[in-house]
Amino acid sequence: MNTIMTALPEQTDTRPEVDALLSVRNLTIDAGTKPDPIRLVQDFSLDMFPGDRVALVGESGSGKSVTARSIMRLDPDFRLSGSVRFQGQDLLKLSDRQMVRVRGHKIGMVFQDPMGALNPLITIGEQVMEPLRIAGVSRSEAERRAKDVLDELGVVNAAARMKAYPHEFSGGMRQRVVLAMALISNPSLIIADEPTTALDVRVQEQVLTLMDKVSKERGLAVLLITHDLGTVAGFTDRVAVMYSGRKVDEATVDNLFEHPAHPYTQGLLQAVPRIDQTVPRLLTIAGAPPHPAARPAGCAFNPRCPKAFDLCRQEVPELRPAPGGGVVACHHYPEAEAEAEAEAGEEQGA
Amino acid sequence: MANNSPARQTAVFLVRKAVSSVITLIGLSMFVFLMVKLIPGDEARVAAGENATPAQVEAVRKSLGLDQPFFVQLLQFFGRLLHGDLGTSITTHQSVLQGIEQVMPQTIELVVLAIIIIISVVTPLATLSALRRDGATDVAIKLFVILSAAMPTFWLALLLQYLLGTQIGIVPISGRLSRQFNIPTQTGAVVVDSLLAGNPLAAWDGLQHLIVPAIVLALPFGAQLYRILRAELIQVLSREHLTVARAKGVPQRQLVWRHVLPNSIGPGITLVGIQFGAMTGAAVLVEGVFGLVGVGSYLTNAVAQKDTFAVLGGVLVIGVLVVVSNYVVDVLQLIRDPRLRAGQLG
Ligand SMILES: Nc1ncnc2c1ncn2[C@@H]1O[C@H](COP(=O)(O)OP(=O)(O)OP(=O)(O)O)[C@@H](O)[C@H]1O
Ligand code: SF4
Ligand SMILES: [Mg+2]
Repeated sequence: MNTIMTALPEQTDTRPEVDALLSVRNLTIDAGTKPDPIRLVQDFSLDMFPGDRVALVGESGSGKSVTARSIMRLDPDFRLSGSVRFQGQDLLKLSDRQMVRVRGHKIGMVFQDPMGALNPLITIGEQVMEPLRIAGVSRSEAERRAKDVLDELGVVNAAARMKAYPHEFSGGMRQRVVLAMALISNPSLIIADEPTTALDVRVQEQVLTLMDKVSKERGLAVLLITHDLGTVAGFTDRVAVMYSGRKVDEATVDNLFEHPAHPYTQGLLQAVPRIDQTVPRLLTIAGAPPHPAARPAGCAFNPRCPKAFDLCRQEVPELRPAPGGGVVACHHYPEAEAEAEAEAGEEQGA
Repeated sequence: MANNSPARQTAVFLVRKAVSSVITLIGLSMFVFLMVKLIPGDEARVAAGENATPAQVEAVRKSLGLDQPFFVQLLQFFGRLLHGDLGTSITTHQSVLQGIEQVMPQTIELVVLAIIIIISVVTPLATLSALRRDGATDVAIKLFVILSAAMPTFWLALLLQYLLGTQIGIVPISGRLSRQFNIPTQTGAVVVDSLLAGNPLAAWDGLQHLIVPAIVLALPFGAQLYRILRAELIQVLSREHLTVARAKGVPQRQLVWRHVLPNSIGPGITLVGIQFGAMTGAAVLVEGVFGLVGVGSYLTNAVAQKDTFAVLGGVLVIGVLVVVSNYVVDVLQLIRDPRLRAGQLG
């Protein structure tokens, strides 16, 4: 059992919400047609402060991409509710026209598949410059800045390479170009949806190192989506864990790795491939996550959870302060105990 | 590296396509030649005329080289072709080439106008359809396209002629140019000649005569283009690079113009290239209804009069048009897609 630690000064949630760069509250995402919509994400909340690096993890299909895309309102077919405040402004309330000015300019996004991410018919330079040109920056100025940002991202001979087309670039190079497009307007937040998954291992390392360096130098906040806890450790400060459309766990990286609160997180951690571990440990979480249209009653994780008990099959657990700091949605952490801890935390924090 | 430069790849591609065009033309010519040989009947007798004496027929046979062996005749046929000699019409006793030269520009003018109408109407309709896929707008446009393509050309021609020409009277019913205009022939295309003669009124009049025939000709082909363009647009709209473009703040209008349309028109360009030849053929019916001269009327007459050389000449010229339009298509695709220039596709 965890012993209750001190007030955990690194617990980010104690920072005042008004200072948040991004503050997502109860974001709920529905897809499908009106009579029987599919709830893809339910009550997702997350705060990010300037310069924060947060990882969003979870198995395939848990709703990470859908959440990220909905923060940017990229899918017109989704119905969104809740709020997504960015620099104090609720993005869900903006008109389409106003939203266009947020995308790319204030929030940049990097995607999983660099091979499909670029328009094959347009030169690299034109594509990197595009956000600036839309904003009315002159051609020569846009060219200069595009060259600078490509230089910064380690594209050798950037001025000449800007005249090339995407098919002349390797996967790793294309991902740098995508990153350049996301960075060129100096956004304060980058959302990266599995930016290295499609690259080969050696290039993965390079791109990640580059993102690390650039975001630190620029003081950028980064929301990194991945299903690989191995990448999380070196890159982020805080981790939010999603399961079947809900955030079920959130903690600082150190706490998460040392005292994972949620049984699902514990399972994920055991599933992280380690050289010193034998193969069967990869298979710790048996079974597969449910389809969004057919979630089990109660805690969506209960059919796979080794710690499940009766209540888990009846009630959806609320997010509550976790014993090790952070929050967790699991009946295993009773309300009374959690509240007592939270109060203790507040007193010590005050 | 230098061997793979886009400029070199492009040149190689263009030369390769040119060679295959020439081979196609040679093939077509041989086919035409065989047709002449396989059609029953004595060419020398046909050429010499009904009332010629056997001696006269033999003289014609000798002068046309018809007494030579097959391969010599084939070579001579190609020799004549190179000089633009398609033979002489047995009905008009005019050179087939000259006869076709008089009518071809008018057909091309009609077909080009129809293609302009197709492209400028279908592109926005297909784009709107794809953007509002399965919505009310899409369904309405689809219905409109299906209905207009389902109408028989002949019936539609008469209907439009009646409605626009007779009832509303906004366009002339038939003919190519009103009487008061007298335009010297330069290219043979009426609108172009009027403009060359510095007579915009005549050009406008010529266009008015041409617009209804062009619409009638355009409809079924436009429906084809609509279908293929809508399908490709829908496919391109789901591509990842559009999400990426949206995520970097590209507004909807620019998204469509810069990232969707150029990426979607490939199959459309190829289709229009193929349609160009088919429309030249389909123009026959339209030209008939509207009293226009063109390759259509020329070929119809030639077939009716069993004028072998005229028929074959017409077929050959249409074949040349098809090959040329295919070549133009290839060049357009090359301009559109840098991967083709680099020799990566096709
Ligand atoms: N447009 C859509 N309409 C309906 N369901 C969707 C749509 N897009 C995604 N989904 C569903 O939403 C769920 C979450 O998908 P999402 O792509 O967010 O998962 P993810 O966590 O990013 O997984 P991965 O690690 O594989 O990228 C999945 O079950 C998916 O099938
Ligand atoms: S709520 Fe129950 S089933 Fe869900 S994770 Fe906790 S213990 Fe397991
Ligand atoms: Mg994903």
